[in-house]
Amino acid sequence: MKKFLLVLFVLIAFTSISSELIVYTYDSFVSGIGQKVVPIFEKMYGCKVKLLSYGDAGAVLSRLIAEKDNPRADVIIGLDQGLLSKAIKYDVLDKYKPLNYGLLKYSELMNDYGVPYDFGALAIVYNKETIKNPPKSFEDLLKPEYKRKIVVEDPRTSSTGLSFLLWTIAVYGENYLNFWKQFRENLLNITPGWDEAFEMLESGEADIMVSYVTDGAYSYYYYGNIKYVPIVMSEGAFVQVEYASIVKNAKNKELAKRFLEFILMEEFQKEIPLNQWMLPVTEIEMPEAFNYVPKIEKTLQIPATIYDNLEEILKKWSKIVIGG
Amino acid sequence: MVKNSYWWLIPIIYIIGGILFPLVFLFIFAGGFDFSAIVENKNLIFFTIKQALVSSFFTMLLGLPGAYIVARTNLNNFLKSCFRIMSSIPFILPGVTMSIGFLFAFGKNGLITKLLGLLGFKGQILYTFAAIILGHVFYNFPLFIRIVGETWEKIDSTILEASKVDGSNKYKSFIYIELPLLLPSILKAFLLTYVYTFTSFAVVLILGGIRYSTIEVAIYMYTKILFDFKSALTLALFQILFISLVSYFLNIKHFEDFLSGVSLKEKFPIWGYLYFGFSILFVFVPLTYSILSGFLNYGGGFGIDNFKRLLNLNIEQYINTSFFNMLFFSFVIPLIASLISIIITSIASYYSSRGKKLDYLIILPAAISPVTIAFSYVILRITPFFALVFIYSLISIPIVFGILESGWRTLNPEIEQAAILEGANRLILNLKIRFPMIKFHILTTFVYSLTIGLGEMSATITVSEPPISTFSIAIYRLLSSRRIPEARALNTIYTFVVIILFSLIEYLRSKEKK
Repeated sequence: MKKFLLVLFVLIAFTSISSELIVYTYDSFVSGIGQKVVPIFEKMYGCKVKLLSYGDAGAVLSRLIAEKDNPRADVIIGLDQGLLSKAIKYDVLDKYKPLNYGLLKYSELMNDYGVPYDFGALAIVYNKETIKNPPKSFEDLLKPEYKRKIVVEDPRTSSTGLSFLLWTIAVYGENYLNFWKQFRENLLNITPGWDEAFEMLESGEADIMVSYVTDGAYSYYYYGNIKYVPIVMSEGAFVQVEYASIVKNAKNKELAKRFLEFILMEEFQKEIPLNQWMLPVTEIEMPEAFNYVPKIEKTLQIPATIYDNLEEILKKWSKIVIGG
Repeated sequence: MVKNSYWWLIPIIYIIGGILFPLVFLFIFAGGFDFSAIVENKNLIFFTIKQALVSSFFTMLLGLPGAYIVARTNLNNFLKSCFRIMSSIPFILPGVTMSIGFLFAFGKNGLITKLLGLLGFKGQILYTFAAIILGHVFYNFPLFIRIVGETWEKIDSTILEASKVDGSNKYKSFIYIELPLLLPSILKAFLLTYVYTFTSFAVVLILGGIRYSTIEVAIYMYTKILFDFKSALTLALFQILFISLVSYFLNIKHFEDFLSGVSLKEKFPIWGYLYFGFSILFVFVPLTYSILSGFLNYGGGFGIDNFKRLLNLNIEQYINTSFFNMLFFSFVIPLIASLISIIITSIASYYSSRGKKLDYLIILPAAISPVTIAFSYVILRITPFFALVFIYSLISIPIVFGILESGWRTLNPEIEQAAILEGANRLILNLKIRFPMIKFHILTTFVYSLTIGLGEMSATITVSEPPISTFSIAIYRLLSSRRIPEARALNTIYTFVVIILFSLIEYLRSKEKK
């Protein structure tokens, strides 16, 4: 069946496809997994793929919105749940269901406008040399022993920071601001992005930061040790899913569709763990380093309407945390 | 002969075409303004206005003595050169590198924290309002050294000596003779500092702790997180108008004639040592850590591990083009942009020094974030190469203007009139008399505009695509792929390249002077 599908794809490819596919994505996709998978796709369909990036996923979406009337890209890769809902609202995507969507291990991740290709979860990461009694839950994070030891990213400027804010909403519902009121006391700093927060951990300035569940695996793989240990809070994990979508009025729609099918194939999915440091969405054998990823026992959801109220949420958050 | 020419229209057209015209397209794209954004962010706006004022004041406090030392003392020329080179470096440091420097200097285990601890000071420096001021002084005090220092160096020693003969003391002659001559340059440096600290982002968020943020943070949020382009544009417009207004009022057009010559060199003062001690502690220690961050090993300690990692990495994978392309574009685009900027600004600053009010327009490129300009160029579909040339040249215009206008003011009108009587036409006047007399000002502006282009990150990322790539893109990409050690190493290499470049220019300058 798989072989048959492949032949079918190739046949479609040869009949109806012009030669260059333009893909918008975030930077680390271009420099990481893109280098591995694009040549395979190009060979499969005898075409050229141009990967273009202009910063993070948000920056790429801004550009897509700016080019709405005369889009240059055929495919956009890297929108998460929040950005996908924005993109749908701005009407810059086309619906598509890939022929091989049955390969998806978690069909509930599917969206009419986006094919999920990987997912990950936020984690609290701590320096195991200085924190002997790590927090296990959000309630623990409020303990006085962590006073001025924690650094988080700013939700107004960082997608990691925004996801963390959404995580607290997933845990506390309407009462999330009460959590932040107390949590504020334990914060040493709120940084504009992940890099600065990490530098604070690296320099010994802070001991706990908001990062991702795969941090330990990454550190083990590249540096052979794990100094900063990720934990998923016992209330449940907040999962971030990344999507690939077809751009509305794309010039190369057929090839774009084939690309969306390609991302569910083994050739693409098996590169996810060690390049994206995320979890694949199809059945794939996991590399050894991923033994150091904490198990996700329970995942938390937030209502889709939250994404429409981000402005209000950020405003309230600023008032409580920044004070203005 | 000045009055009936229209050359001054060139800079006006360049700025209107490069900034205001694209903003109109941004306006059409956003679909209008949303003035409620101003009311909603009023606390942030007040804080921005206030912190910029306080920051500029302290920057001036540290900058003016530095300008005096460089211009008016007989301090060793080599030391002066080092001071000038090092003080230009902060301009090219990305926020995250700056933060490494400050963490290692003022952090919990920082060098200065420990030193101050020995002296009995136990207070916290980082994550306070004071840290914001410190960060702003760090980035901007060179503006005073350059703009004011360059002018101070040209005040003719004979007037000061004459006043001494007339019985005036050092302080009197400073207040009554030097200060009035320096005032326009001081105001220029102050205005630039005000604008740069007004639009500051990284310093306020990283160093200031959890309580502070600026208008620029809100603009970032509206554009990148909420995609509320109307609110973003409204705040950007507010920023432009406010700064334009400040610049309009900070401008004095009536000055006494400048008497240029070789400045009086005095003995290096005792307080100079104190000054050096202070600036080494608060500026050069964090700067050194930032520059050498490539040698800070991942997981602690010093060494060359990061460089080994960088060598083992295929950098072309990160920049999506060849290494040669990166090197080529990293320097060629800033170079072209610098030339354009200097030509355009020479014209603008000449007319400004002769009384034409242009400041409020010239300052605009500093009042708007480069990423906003870049985004409007994307909407206009300007190709990456030209977009970057435009952006780099535009964003360096305000500072080039600050330096050059001070330069034009130091020209003696008598010499020009004499030349005209001798039958010199305008070309000869410019080439043989005017430009040679302000060549150090021009060299300085060249250093600055080159640095600004080289260090620009946000707009560069927004518009670049293969084959165009630059050092700053490579560093950004390494960071975003979490290649922290490699990013640190590359940043250090790149900083050294820039230091070598500046030293070369400084060398040319000292050779010329002899």
